[in-house]
Amino acid sequence: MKKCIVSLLTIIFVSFLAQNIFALTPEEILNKVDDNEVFDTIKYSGVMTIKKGSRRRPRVKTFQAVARGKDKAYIEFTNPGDRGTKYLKLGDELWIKGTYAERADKISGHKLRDSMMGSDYSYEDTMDNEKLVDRYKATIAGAEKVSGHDCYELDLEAKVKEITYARLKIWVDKEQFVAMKIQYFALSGMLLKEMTVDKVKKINERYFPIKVRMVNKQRKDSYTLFEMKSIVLDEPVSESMFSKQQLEK
Amino acid sequence: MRNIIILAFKNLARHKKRTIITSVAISFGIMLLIWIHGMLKWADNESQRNLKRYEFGNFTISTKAYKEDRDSFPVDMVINGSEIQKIFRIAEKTGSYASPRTGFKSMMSYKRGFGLPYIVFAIDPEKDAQVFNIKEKIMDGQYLDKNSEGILISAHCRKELGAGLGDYLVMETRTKYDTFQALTIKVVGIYDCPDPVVNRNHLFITRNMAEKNLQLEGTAAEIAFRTKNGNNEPALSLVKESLSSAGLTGLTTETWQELGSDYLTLSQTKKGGSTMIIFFIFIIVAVGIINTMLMAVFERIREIGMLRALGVRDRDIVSSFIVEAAGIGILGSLIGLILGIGVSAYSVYHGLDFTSSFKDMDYGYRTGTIFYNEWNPEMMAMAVIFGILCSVLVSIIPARKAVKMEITDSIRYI
Repeated sequence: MKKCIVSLLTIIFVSFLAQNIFALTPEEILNKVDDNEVFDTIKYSGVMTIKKGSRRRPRVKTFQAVARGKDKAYIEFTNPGDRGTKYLKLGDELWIKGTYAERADKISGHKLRDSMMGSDYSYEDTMDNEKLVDRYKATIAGAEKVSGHDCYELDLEAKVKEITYARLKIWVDKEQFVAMKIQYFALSGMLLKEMTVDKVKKINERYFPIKVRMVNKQRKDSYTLFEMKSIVLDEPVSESMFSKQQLEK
Repeated sequence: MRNIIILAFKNLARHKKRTIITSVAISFGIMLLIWIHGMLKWADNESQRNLKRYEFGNFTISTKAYKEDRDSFPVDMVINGSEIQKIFRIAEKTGSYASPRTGFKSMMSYKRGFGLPYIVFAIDPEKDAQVFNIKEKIMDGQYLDKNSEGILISAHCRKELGAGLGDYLVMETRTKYDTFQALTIKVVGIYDCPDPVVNRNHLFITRNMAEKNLQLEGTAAEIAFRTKNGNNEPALSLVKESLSSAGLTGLTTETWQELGSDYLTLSQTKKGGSTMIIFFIFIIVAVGIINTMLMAVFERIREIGMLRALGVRDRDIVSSFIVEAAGIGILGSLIGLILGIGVSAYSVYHGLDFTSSFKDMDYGYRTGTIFYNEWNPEMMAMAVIFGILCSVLVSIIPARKAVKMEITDSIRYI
C-alpha cells in the first residue's frame, strides 16, 4: 500500500514538473503567433463586408493590397462605387487618391486612426504588422476552446506608452499558434472590439488567418468581415508599388 | 418753377389710385430694403460676437505646430504645464482672462446606438466661464464644476443622440499617446447656445477628468483670451511682447478674425448678396415708376401738345414729369420708411423665428434660427433718398419722350 502511494505521488510530481518545465511561456506563445502572422511582404485580394446597424444592408468593398514590413502598404479599391480609390501608407504618412482626383492628397497622421471606408478597422488596424511581443507583456490567464480549437488564454498589457490598445486578451490555438480570438480594450478597461478568426490557411509552413470578423462591442449589430484571397507571403515586392507615381497612375 | 410744381402735384392728385398703387410698389421695396439690411447687419454683427463669445475669445495662444494642424485637434502638439502657468501670469499682467482648452475628436454613442462624431473640449469650468458664455446658456441641469465627472452636451447633441439629462453616454477617443480610450459619462448639463457651429459640434468635460483619462499630463492645446475692453488691442501686443520676453518662442497667437476667417470670407460674399437685393429693389421701383410715367405721358400727349402750342417750354414739361415722379418717390419712400421701421421694430424686440425653415441647414451665419434686426438709421435715410432718386432717374426717359413728338401730331394724337 505504501509503495502504491509513493508511486502515485511520484507520477503526480513528475507530470507536474513536466508540465512546468516543458510548458511554453507567454512570450514564447506570442513569438510563435508573431512568427505565423508577422510577414515581410504580403499581397492579397481583399473583401470587406461592413454591417452597420440592424436596419442597413451590409456593404461589400473589394480591394487589392500589397504591404512590406510595418511601414509600407498600398491598397486599391476595386468595387463599383470606390473603384480607383487608392491608399498609400509610408511610415506615419497616409496618402489618398480619390476615384476622380488627379493628384494624391497627404492625410495628416491623425487620420490613420479613422475608420477605413466606414468599417470597424482603422487604417492603422489594417496596416498593422508589428510584433505583439515587442509591444505587450503577456500573462497566461487560462485555457479555453474557441471555435473548436484548444486555446491558451493570454492577457496582454501594453509595455510601451505609444500604443493603440492598452490591453488585449487573446486566445491562441495550442497547435497552430494562431490568435483565434482577440479582444481589444480601451485604457479604461472597456471592451471595444472583438476579433474572431473564421478561417486559417497554411501558407509556406505558417498558419495565417485569412477570414476574420471584427465586431464593434460598443454598437449594436456592427461588424466587419475581412477576407483575404490569393495571398502571397514573403515574396519580393517591387519598391515602385509604394511610390506616389503608382498612386497617381 | 412754382407753376410746374403745382402742375405736377395736381396731376398726382388727379390720378389718385395710380399714384397710390405706384407708391405702394415703391414703399414695399423700401420696406424690404430697410428690413433685410437691418437683419443682415444684425446677423453679421451677432456672428462676429458669437465667434468671440463661444468659439475663440479675442485671441488664442497655441503651439506653432498646433496652429498648422488645428483642424485635426491634435493632443500631442500642446502647451506644457509650466508654459501654461507663465501664460496665466501674462494674462494677469495684461488684465485679460485666460482659459486653457484641449479639444479632441470623439465618437459619442448612447445605448450602443450609432456613434456620432463631436469635438469634446476639456475645460477649467471657472476660467472658461470668464472667457466664454457657455455657462449662461445652460438650459437644463448644471454647468460643470472643477471636479465634475460628467459631460455638458448641447441641445443639438441631445436631439441627435436621443439622450437627456442624467443619461450615460459612451465617449470613444484617443489619448495623447494615441491609445484608445472609452468612458461612460453622465450628462450633467445641457446648453443651447446661438452659435450653430458650437451647438452642433462641441461638448465639454473638465480638465481634471481629461487629465485622469487622456494622459494629458498637465498640457493644453490652446489658451483662449478675453480682454476686458472687448478689443484685441492693446492686450494682444502686450501678450506677444511678453511671450517673446519669456522665451516662449514656440508659441503663437491667433486673433478671432484669423481663426474665424472662413466665416469672415463668407460674410464678405454675403455682402455681395445684399447688394443684389438692393439691385432687385431698384428694379421693383424702376418698373413701377417707368410704367406709371409712360402711362401718364401717353394719356396726356394731346395735353402736352396743347401746352407746347401755348408756348410752354419743352424743358418745363420735362421738369413737370420729373417733379411728378419725385412726388410718387417721396410718398412711396415715406410710407416705405414707416413700414420698414414698423417691421424692423418687431424684429428688433421679438425676432423672426426661422427654425422650421432652417432646421439643421447650414445657413452660414453663426447665429441662432431666430433672426433679429439692428436699427440702422443711416440705411433708413439712404433708402428714402434712394427711393426718390430712383423715381426721378427712371422718369427722365418717359418725360423726354413726351416732348419728342411734333406739336401738330400731339394735338391730333388718339
